[in-house]
Amino acid sequence: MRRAGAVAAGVAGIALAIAGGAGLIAKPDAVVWASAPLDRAVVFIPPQVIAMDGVLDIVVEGEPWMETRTARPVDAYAWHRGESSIYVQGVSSWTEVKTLKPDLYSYDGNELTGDIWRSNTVSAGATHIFPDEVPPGLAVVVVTRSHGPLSKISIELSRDPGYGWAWPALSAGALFAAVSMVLFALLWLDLRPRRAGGAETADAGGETAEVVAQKVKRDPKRGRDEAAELKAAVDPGGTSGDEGGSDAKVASGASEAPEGLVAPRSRRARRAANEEGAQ
Amino acid sequence: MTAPVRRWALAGTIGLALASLAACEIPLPVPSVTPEVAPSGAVLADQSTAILAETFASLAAADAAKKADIAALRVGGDAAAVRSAEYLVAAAGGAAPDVLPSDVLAVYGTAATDWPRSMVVITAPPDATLTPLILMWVQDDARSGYQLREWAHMLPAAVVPAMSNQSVGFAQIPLDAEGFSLTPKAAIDAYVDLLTKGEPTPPTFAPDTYRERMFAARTALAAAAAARAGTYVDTIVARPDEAFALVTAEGSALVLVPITVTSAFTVPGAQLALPDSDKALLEGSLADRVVHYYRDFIVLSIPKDASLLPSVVAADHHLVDVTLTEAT
Repeated sequence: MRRAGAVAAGVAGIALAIAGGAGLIAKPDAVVWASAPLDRAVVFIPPQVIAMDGVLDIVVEGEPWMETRTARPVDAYAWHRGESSIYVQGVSSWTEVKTLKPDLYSYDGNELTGDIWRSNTVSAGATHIFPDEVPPGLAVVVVTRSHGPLSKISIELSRDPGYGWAWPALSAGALFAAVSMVLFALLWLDLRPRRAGGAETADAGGETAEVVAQKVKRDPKRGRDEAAELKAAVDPGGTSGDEGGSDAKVASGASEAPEGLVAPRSRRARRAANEEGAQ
Repeated sequence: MTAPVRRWALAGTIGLALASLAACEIPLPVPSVTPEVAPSGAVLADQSTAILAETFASLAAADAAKKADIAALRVGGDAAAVRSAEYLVAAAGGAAPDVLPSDVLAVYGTAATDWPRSMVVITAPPDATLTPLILMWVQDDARSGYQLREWAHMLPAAVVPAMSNQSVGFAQIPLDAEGFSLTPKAAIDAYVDLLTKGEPTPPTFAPDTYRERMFAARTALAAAAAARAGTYVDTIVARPDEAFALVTAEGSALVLVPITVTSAFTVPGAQLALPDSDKALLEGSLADRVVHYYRDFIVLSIPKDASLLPSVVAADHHLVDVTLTEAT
């Protein structure tokens, strides 16, 4: 029973440890960057994208000087007139930003800002849009001052990699393995005193008559004489020389003794007995 | 458990664990939530402050140069025409241009999501003898800037109803909107009819000094023309396409409407004379007929309660041109 438990715990421990370890290895990054090329002077980022789950940062790169403006979406859409920019629509994968590029592209370079913008900041080379810093519901428009094209948009996304069970599985696997090892150790320790104790008694010439009788019983090939020889070998002093009848009595009694109470004879004890008998 | 069974159990467990890894696909975020815009007004305080600063700066530059087109980006429509006429009149020894104080008492922006849009500003009184002014800015489309288009002095004892603050913005309503004692269009028509035909019985509008002055001038000029078998005719036309109707915080309507007043004075066979200030606007040689063109701006208040009369909150009579005949 204990052995079966140790094996089961060992198998479960290994399986859980492998699964947990594999999970940790296969676990995707919690933060990723999706990006897309831009080849127009204006990019429109609607509030739905800014409010998307997990968006940490939006970076637009391109011309040395660009303006990052915020406005009510209806105002920003009207300012664009629907055909003059790239619209960011979200992400098509964890590595790619989904954009819409209308075929009709005619940025007219109107210098008037239109008074619709809630804010307008100028940056060089790249602009960072942090969702926490954009008032709720506003769209963001990035436009180059030279009307040259922007080069790239990137969105930093945080996500739940979904491998939250990996560490617990690995821990549980280690625990099961430890339990298994303890069970095996206990099993081994449980066996060792009986084996070692039997040998030592034989060495000291102290093997009891019951043991000898049991040997006889367990080895039916051996006859009554052999039993006597063995007894003599174990008790060379003949301390029970007048016990010829008792020999049979012992053997008879031994045959009635419960098998489980008798320690199995070790190979070492048997050898010792044989050696002594030979002498 | 025999060795083969153990091996199969172990392999199965590991296989199940590895298969569970493959099943872990992370869903992509989707832009599904549309956050509410807050604050929702079309023109917040920062925006209006910039617009006013640019307008008054460009107006100051135009005043210094006596050329209204210098301020064309921020001053247009009737405001530019009136200002240009004021420069000419002032240069001819007439009245100085109206003072438009940059010290504002209140700014009201719209909540509109379409165009054109209006912004209403009430200034401090220019001096102790004058009343505050109501100025109206208009934005024609998303790429245009707000332009000062109209102004008028408030009439004595007039009260501007409470308006929504800029973070919310007022609602711009069509001229045929109901829910008031009159629709804005009906109120405009009724007041133009009143100006043209004189006071009706029973009165349709609360008394105001704007029409009192107009009627007084009309009476005097009509009498002067009639004394020489001549005529004096005022033709008043509202410009509803340039009008705006706003809902106040208390549910009434404020209607801002420009009107054109054409005053034709004719005395057959006479040689008319004009004051020097009016001559500055005249093109041609004056004979027996002269026509004055005015670009007036009127602010009407239409109560929600039908038992109350609409009233005029602000109005100015702005001379912009003097000609020999009516323009066709």
